[in-house]
Amino acid sequence: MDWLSIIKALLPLVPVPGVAEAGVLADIAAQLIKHIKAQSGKTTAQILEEAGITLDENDQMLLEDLAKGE
Amino acid sequence: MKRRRITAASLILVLALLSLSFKCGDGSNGGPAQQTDQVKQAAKAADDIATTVNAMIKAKRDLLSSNLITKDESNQLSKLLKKVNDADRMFYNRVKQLAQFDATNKPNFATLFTSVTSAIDELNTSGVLGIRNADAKSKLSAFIATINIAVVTIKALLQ
Repeated sequence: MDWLSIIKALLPLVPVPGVAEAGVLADIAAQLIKHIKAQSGKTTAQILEEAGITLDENDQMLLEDLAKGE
Repeated sequence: MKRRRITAASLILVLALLSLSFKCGDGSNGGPAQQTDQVKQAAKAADDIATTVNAMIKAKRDLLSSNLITKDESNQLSKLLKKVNDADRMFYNRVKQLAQFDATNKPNFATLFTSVTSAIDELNTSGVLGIRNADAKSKLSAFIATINIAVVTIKALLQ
């Protein structure tokens, strides 16, 4: 997997404030969380904290659920 | 190599999540100094939607752990709740920057709010109404009804 290609594909989506795009980003973020958890054994909260990201409670819970496929 | 991949994944995660941060607060920072009661009511109603979404997420988790909904049903609800939360956040953030509604900006806010109501409709029709367990469907429908009270409030303010 070429991470640079992923970054190049993702970057144009990030600044777009549209609802549909935010949903796409959430799916990507959930999959990345799942991937990092599988590789590092860290929890979602730990990953977000280390990334310096503060989400509102709703977003964090939904990302956790989506990462688990729930 | 593995560490580099984790770092790269973390970087993408940061970029993806930066646009998702949403805080519903008391509006004591960042907004105009004086807001009309109508704007405050609209912001409060939008915050009520976020609060109800929060309760609905927790209820969804309880229903899944009780096996009253399936994992697929829960996943579908999560995706649709995310849409509602994102649309509501966008509306809330815009309202919090506003001093007053007027004839010029009302149509824009009404259009923006259409994204919220569309997401709520989708949550109901493609999520809640598709739940097979009647008790679970009934519990989740109650949250939709609560959200719709806030929707009626905002629609009235935007007319």
